[in-house]
Amino acid sequence: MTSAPDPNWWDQELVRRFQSGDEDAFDRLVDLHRRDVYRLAYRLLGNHADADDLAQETFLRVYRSLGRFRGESTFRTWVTRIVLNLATDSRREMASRRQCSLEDLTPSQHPVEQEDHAGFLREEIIRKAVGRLPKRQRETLILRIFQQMKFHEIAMVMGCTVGTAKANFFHAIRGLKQRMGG
Amino acid sequence: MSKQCIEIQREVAWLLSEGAAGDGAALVSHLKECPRCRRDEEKLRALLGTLGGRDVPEPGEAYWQSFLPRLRNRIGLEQSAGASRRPGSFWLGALAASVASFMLAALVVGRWSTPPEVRVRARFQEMARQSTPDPLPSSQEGSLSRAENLPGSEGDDAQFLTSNMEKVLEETFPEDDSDVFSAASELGKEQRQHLEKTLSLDWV
Repeated sequence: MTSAPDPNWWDQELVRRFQSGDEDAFDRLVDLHRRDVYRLAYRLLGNHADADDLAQETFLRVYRSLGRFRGESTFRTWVTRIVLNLATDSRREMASRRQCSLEDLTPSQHPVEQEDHAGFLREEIIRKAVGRLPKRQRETLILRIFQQMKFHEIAMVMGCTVGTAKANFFHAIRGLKQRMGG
Repeated sequence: MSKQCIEIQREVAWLLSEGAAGDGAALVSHLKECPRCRRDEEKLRALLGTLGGRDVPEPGEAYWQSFLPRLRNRIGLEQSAGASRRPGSFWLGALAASVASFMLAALVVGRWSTPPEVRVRARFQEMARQSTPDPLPSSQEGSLSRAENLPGSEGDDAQFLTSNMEKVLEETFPEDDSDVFSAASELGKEQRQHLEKTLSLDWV
């Protein structure tokens, strides 16, 4: 019985092929990671148009820099870091573009208790509550809950220790509970 | 909230986020004893369940099919824009073309290494080498021979004696006592005009 190949090994192999001049290897890498990148972008930015822009821009950056990628982290970690960096710029730009009112994000305006937990309103409140967490807490939460990254992976992406990543996660959860009225 | 409660809640958060049940002995016993932490765990489970249940809307197969072609298109555009924007590439090319055309023209004309003034000077030097000077009169030839034998006439020019030089000049070109200017002033008007016309001596 043969076990499934390690995705990290396969990523490394495709990176090596690309660095040897095989352009198709880049297309394969895009195929393998585009959904994860798009989903992460969507969770960070909250809408399709911005998520699409971010996903495209991410792979453009990957293409530019892949020749110099030395494999000190996994390809997935490296791409995730690019997404986070680009998302930070994008959010900053979005914030200056539309100065949204803070009041319309507060849960107090929405009687959560009376709503179905699976309902749209609840979803929207969670999204906005997550969006209002401090940057590193928000990123840690998203990587952990939505991208299902391990804490040591998150630590590599965020450039911090595992302990810091865990602490950020805990503070994110606590902040979220408070914002949700818990 | 006690320090232990904070620790427990932190551990619960990590464990639940990892999808593991909180089954550590210390954790379980604390949750049994502490209603606050138990409530917190329940809320956390609900929150993580809600968060985890939130999925990103699927953009559709058409979107995924267009994803790579659009990306390739952007890469192509960037590469072509980068090639035309590469700093100095146009001017370097223009400069190289100018130098090449100049060198070609110079080779065709055959004047690559000899500017006009150098060629003229070389031609004059060649003419000078080929021409044989007229022999000096015998008297002057003798004077020069004697001058060559005078003390101080050899070696450093700076030590050449002035008196010797004057002597040689006196012998070679004897003084002309004729007063040209006086003679000219004595000429009649018609004769002076004729002389001027002949010699072009404006100063007479």
